[in-house]
Amino acid sequence: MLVDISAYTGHWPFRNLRGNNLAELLQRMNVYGVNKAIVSNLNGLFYVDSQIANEELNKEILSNELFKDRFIPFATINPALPWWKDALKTCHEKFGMKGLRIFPLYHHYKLTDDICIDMVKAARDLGMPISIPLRMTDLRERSWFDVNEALSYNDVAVLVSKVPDAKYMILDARITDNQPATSNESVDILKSADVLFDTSRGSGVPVKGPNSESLTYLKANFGAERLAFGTETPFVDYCSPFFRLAAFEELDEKQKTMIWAGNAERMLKI
Amino acid sequence: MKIQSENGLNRRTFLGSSGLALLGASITGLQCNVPIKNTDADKIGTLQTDGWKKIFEEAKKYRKIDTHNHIWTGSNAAQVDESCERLGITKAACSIPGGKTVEDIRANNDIIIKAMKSHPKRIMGQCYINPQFKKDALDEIDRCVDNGMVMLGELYDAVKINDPLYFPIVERCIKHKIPMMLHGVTTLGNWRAGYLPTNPPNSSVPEDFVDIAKRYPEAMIICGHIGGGGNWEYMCRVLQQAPTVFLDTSGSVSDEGMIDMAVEYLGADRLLFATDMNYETGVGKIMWAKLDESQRKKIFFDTFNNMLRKAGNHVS
Repeated sequence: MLVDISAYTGHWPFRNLRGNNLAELLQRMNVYGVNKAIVSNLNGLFYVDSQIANEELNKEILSNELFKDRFIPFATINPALPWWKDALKTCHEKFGMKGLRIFPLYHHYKLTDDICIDMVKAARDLGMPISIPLRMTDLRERSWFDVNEALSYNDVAVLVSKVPDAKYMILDARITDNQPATSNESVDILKSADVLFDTSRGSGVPVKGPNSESLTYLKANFGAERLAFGTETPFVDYCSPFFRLAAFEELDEKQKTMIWAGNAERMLKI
Repeated sequence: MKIQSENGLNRRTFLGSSGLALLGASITGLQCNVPIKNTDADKIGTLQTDGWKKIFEEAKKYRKIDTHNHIWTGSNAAQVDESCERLGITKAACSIPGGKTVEDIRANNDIIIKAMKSHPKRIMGQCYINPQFKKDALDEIDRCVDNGMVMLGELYDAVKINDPLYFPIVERCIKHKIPMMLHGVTTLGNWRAGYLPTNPPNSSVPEDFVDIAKRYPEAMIICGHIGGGGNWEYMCRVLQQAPTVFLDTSGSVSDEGMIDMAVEYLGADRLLFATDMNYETGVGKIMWAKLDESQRKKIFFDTFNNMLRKAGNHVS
């Protein structure tokens, strides 16, 4: 069983993507052996009304019988919108969306803003994990229109400290260049809460390259039960995320099963 | 398998339909990237459990020479050796770029020489020099070549590659018949006015490589890391104008479509496999790219090996 916790459908305004629809994503999943993927709609980062992107995603999932069992939709909601509560309710009850992805840098709020904390608490109360991509693309290749900063583990830890009983997924888990090191306090906060780190930027070999994360570091600090397979598709090539885990030989069979799927299945209750 | 049975498929129907083509494709390791044009269920295929394992095993089988790697903090010779082993990388050309004085630079190159000796089957040496040290830089090239280093690299941002200070350096490489690889950048602030450069201003942009290649078309000049974090579309479009310049595929960026664009604009013959310490993405991006078997072998191994052959430094 393989579950990918980091996939998207939809468009990206700064470069063309391939495989950015559910049909092509499912084809990739079939070739590589991925049973299920969590998806959200990238359009929700850019529409003023992110709920329209959720409606699009729901429509896309309903468009093909094959999609229902293979995709786990997550909502994209901007808490600055006065109707975010209704949007969350609709996504949860009507669309069956199992979690929430938040993009504070793109939606112009801070993780510590009251509106964010209120939405995270509301998602928690509905049993929806909160997925937080630390960044969407490498800042060095950014367009002049794109954001010029990334979130860090420290940023997420502050939110987690305010809503410690929610469930979190940290995507694109890594330290960006020139960010302050992760503090011991942040590590302790993230360790004590229910947080999964995706493996999409984790290096499995002994050498941790620049601009990536070390799977050895994540395992040593948070445990194998906190790692979950992620591809970051359709932004990066679909092959490398598999090679990262394949090259990470410091795992026993039980830990591998947990990271490829078990930890995500537990959090999602699937 | 649950999903197959839900779709009314068993092993026989799976192998007898589109699944066979897809399974066969991944066994060859050549069709890792299979974009489709419509939502037809036949095109979507059926789940191949552990399909990635076959692709990983195929990837490891290719002979590979890493054109751009480093001995560094957290990347000592033994760690490079082990990391290469896990991805099936035959040999890695390594450097330590940097050093404020001639003595510092010599000491760094000596570390590389030591790594070559401790891991002769895996590590090849790249000689780092700073053209501002003029005669000392030329002497260091000769010393490094005498000690078995196979090329210059990763030359950095002391001066741009088309600066006249580089002319004698390029000429010395031509004389030794060795390639030279230099840090190439396309970060926004380094090519567009009004944005803060994230690389030092003397960093070489693709236009600088085009310029030096016009002066020395016989030189084997390699622009470092298409995936080094800048705009790779920019790199492909500009380097198209320099048909003698090679581009290495390293860097932490492994964006969807990046290698395919480089193949389209530069051609597979001008691309050289490299990791720059990003092992999994280094191999993964080449496996994912839309390449035929011949192109993949050229990028992974043959082209760079033929460049090394000119000075007798090739892998047999």
